[in-house]
Amino acid sequence: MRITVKLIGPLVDRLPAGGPFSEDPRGINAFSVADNATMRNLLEQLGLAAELEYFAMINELHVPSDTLAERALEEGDDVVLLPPLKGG
Amino acid sequence: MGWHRKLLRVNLTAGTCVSEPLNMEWAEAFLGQRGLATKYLMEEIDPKVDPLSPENKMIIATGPLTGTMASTGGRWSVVTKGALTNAIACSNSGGQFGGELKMAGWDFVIFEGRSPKPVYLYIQDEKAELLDAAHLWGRSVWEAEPAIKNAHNDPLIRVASIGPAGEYGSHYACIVNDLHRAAGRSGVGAVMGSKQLKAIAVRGTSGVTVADPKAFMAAVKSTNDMLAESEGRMNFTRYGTIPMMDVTGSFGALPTRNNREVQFEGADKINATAMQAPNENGHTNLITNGACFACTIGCGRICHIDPQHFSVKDRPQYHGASGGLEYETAYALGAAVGVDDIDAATFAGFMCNEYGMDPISLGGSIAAAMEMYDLGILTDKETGGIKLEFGNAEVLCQISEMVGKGEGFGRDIGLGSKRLCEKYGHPEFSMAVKGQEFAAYDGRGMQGMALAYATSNRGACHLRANPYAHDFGSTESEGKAKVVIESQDLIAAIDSTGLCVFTLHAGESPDQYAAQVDAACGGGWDVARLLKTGERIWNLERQFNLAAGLDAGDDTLPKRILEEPAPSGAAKGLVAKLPEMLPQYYEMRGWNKNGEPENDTLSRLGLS
Repeated sequence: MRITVKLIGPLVDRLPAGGPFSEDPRGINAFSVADNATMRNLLEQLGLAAELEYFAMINELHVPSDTLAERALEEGDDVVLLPPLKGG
Repeated sequence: MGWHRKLLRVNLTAGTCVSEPLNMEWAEAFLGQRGLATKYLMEEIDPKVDPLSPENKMIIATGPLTGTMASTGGRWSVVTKGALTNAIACSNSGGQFGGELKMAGWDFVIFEGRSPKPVYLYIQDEKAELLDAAHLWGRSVWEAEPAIKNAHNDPLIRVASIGPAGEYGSHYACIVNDLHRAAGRSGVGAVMGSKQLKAIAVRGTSGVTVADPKAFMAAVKSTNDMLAESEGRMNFTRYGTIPMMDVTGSFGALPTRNNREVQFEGADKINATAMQAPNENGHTNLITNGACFACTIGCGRICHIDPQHFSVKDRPQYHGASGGLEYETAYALGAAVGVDDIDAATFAGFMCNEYGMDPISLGGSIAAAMEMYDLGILTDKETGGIKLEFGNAEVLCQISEMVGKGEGFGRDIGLGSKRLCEKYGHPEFSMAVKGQEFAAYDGRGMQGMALAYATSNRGACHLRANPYAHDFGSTESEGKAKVVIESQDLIAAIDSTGLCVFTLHAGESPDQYAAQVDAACGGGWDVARLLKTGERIWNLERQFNLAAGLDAGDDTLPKRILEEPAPSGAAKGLVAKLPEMLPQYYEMRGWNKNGEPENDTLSRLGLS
């Protein structure tokens, strides 16, 4: 199934070189993921370390952190991933 | 050690400068800087005093790690009763000034009384004297600081001064040091101005010692090694604090147009990416990063305005490099006023540094005025013809300079949003707590921040608690009281060490703070003592505020945040759940329902 992903702020620095975001890391990128994919699967597919902290909005709705990793993705989901910034 | 055990008492009324011992018994209980200075203030003034009267005192305070090699060990604070809030004020700054004061051999400087004429304090190691400042009065920070250095023929003098905003008594006037670092919040610059004290100039060569140098170096190295590898530190170094705009903007907690909205459509034009990208003229706002004394983070942004920008086109004096936008400035002089022009926001920030104003309160006050103008409560008659429209970059630049100089309607905006909105009959448009304007986080999306704002002893503030991760992870109110209390106590302790709170956000742990303090101060400091000291400081500040006449009714938020649901984002449809969180907070603090510390709590903390 197809979804879109946007990485916010310094999260792009976590991307591996030559990964799927390499052409437009700050843009909205479309991906194919497995039909039963979870957010954890998506992070792995993107080359993002799943053990690090993330926050997320999916389809403009907040996903609580304690359910984020196992959140099932659906066709057409718009995923926005936020880095764990503090202060400022 | 970590201390010179010596403070300078300056009586401005009498014109005297006297050395006296630092109260080391109090230092054992309140550590230094924020905590120890609050203890001195509590002991030496009536908390009910008019903050702008000679009876108020102003304390310049360092911590035991100020002036040492500990990363960020250059912090210093101004502790006084705040002109903006009528509450305890503790305004913290970096730059080079704090380290220099410590190098000169002084832990604290206490100013009391009021000078009969403008003066500045000149400290050269153990020598301290009040000098005439008549020729500096009315001049900006950017004029006064080099003038003082020139007068003493010493470019290494470090200066903290007020601008015209502090002289005329803008309620959010700040104290600027090293040209673009500032003790920014709560109106400490107005207190300094009321004392006719233009500046404090310091040159120090005596050095700073610690109790156990070997243990101290080991503790510092361990911490620096962690910071070197920390992702949080790297983000601060590469991008400064401004990437938070992308986070709050996406999440829906970016206060926009006086908190009418929580997402700003122009954020992409004033964010970290925009700061680093060439504009249509090929000009890039950001030049490089900058660091304060002993800092290994370097979050500061050194920027310049496009010489072709309307704000500076015919004003070459503003074409040079200076302190640029941080997240709070970009919010207050960008999203809060609906302006998406990065050079205009940078110019307004320059005005804050040049004339001595807190940019958060300036932006919040302009935003409140813009909302009243939008609704017809303010008209061209009151504003003197200035079109105070949201999003008007030209007006932002014009009015910022007018506030700084105290000209025209700028004087009204210089009152701060609370007094401004009350003057025009609509206090509900002031987005403030205890009279101090919100920082760059909307309390509907970030429930922990809502509680942190409401309970902050110095009024709305983003630097008094650390609820960020919990808030971005959950929009529920559950668990917020615990997170807020624990981080308030830890930060109260950090603010008393001489270190910067951004070390916490970069990953420094309580045991790393404790190890450095322990080695510097001669032992006896562990994490438990550090946290209890933080709790003691928090409760002492609370005692000051209660004695000043504040009560539980001041632990609240504007009606908009409590009753108008957020229009979009993670918190769409939500209001701040303060009525649920505040009773939990009081109970966990060991306070009664009126927000007063119980006797058992005071006894446990040694405050009874």
